[in-house]
Amino acid sequence: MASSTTTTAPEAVYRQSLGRRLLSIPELGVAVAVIVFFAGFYIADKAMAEQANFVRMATQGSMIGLAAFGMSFLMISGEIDLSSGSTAALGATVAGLLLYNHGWPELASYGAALGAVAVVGLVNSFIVLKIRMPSFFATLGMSFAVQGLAVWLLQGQWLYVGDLIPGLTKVVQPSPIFDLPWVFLVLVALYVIGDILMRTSKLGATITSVGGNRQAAEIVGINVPLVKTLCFVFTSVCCGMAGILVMAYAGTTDWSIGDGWLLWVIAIAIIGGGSLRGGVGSVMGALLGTALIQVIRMGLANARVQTNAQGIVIGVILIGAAILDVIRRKSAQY
Amino acid sequence: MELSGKDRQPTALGQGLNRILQALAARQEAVIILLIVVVGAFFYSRNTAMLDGATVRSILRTMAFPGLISMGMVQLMIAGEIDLSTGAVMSLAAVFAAKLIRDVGLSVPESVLCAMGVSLLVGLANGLLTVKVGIPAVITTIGMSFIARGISYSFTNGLPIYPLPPEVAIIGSWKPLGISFTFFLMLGVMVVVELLLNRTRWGAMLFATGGNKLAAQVCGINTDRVKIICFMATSLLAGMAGMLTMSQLPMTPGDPIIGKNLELDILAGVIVGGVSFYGGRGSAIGSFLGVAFIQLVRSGVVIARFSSYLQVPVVGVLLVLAAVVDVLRHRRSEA
Repeated sequence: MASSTTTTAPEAVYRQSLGRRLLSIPELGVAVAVIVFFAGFYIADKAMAEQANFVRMATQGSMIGLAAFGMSFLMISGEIDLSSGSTAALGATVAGLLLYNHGWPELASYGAALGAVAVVGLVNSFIVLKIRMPSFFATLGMSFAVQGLAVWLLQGQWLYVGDLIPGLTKVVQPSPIFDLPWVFLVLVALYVIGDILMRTSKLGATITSVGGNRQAAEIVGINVPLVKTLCFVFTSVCCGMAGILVMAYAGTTDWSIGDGWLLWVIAIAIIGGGSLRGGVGSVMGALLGTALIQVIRMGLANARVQTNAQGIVIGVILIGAAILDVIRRKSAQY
Repeated sequence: MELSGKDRQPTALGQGLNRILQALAARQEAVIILLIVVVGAFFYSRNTAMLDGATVRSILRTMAFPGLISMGMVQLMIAGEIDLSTGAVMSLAAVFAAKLIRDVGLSVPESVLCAMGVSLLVGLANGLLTVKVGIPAVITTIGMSFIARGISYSFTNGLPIYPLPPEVAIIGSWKPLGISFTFFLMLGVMVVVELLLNRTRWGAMLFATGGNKLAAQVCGINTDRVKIICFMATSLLAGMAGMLTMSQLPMTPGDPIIGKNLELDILAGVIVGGVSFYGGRGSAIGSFLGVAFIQLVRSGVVIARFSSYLQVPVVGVLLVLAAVVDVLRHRRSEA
């Protein structure tokens, strides 16, 4: 430890070198990684830095970033939701079917779709809280069930909804700021608000304490089931919305939306500082994690790596992120 | 806020449920057989083709693959871990073997052995990452499944590998009793595993590791080694299943699409069959029955002229229900 004098003893004990403290900010590590990876890909192919590319990264990243946004709150509260991809698929499916097959107006379709995914969130939270199944397994099982539901609802159709969603399509159009889509700007704003909320508000403190030490939170009088349920529903709604956004971007709905998201979202949450054990996490970290994942995906796509072969990288990143998590947990200093 | 569950008298419904759970805890196999009969009868009532010889044979033939892999899974889950990468390992092994046969010119037995070695390596990696590094098995194996499938796709550029020499299909074309070789292989493995679980020290070590890892370690069991071996066995069986798929379906070459979505069937089958997410319980016969039941439901949905898109959600719901039963039973035994 740093040298101390005889006076303020506690201060001396906790003083660490600036470097050490910087390193312990998980967000910083991710930010550095983003820059490093980006630089690496740029060297490999100058096209990385084109504005069009940035726009594409931002657009694609917005969908998954939204899902990760919701997830980060849930992870801080100590739970996890492995059904994010399926929930997104369900959101897109319900919205798409209502728009296409039943001619519902836009807002009503989205509202209904979000209502449907909120129900999924409620079921998730019921299984985890009432039946007390660990959230890993509960949401894993639910992910199969929900995806199957989406598949069944669609009956294998492939809906073209591009013409039916003028309102939403505007959201994914470029805005005056660097041509970045509106949805991206909104998302960044959400993240900033969410992060500040987490750090400074009573809500943030509540969620963090629920995740950090459930019993203590209960003793203090926090309604833990309510908090967790809200987090589950919030996550599902975010994922559902993300699914609808994918539909808006692609102009079509089919059941493969959200396929493989599961891993991305978990990797993002972990890279961003969340821990699989809960109670720890950072909303900003999730944003940086999304950025990192997007940079990597774009870089790979540019290098013309096949989507399926990209899977290798996904898997490695996921396992790497999990190893990071384990190391972080083991070396946590109190 | 409400009292904890322990302080309240069970209602009549609760008592009834308790009794059902008791039965399930004691004899899950019997319950599954009952389920098979009841569900089979239901589907039969919708379409008598359900009990046709051809239908039954096809169910048995299809279930042989997840069934074979479930023999490894059951040991792994009894020991308290899980493996979601089996479908991807199937594909990797098949593609690997096919590539060796077609492009490298190795003989069929040699290629098969190499592919089995690769499967073992994947299992070893799963085991080491989960047990030694400490990553939850769910994450490790899902990540590994992506890696394995990615490798499999990049080997083949997404296209199936063919043509393959006819020797590949030798084992696959055996059709004793009109059912496949794989089915009987699975039965054989099932008998072996059941004996292992109930009569040998290995089985005792598995149950101990899953039931109470610390206690097992205190007793001198190397729980890390037990779990790693289980991972390797599961991956090995998955690799074999993959290659048998390649061999069995005529003209089916090493195709990266093999095994996609099989993990759901295996997991659902095994949990319905009595294995617990918490570890420490399960049986090979139960897993066989569970996987058979899942396959029965799948085929039944199609034959009884329900939408074939219902297959996956139904199996998913079954998985959730079985898992709920698992949790309730676990809580009861803790109370």
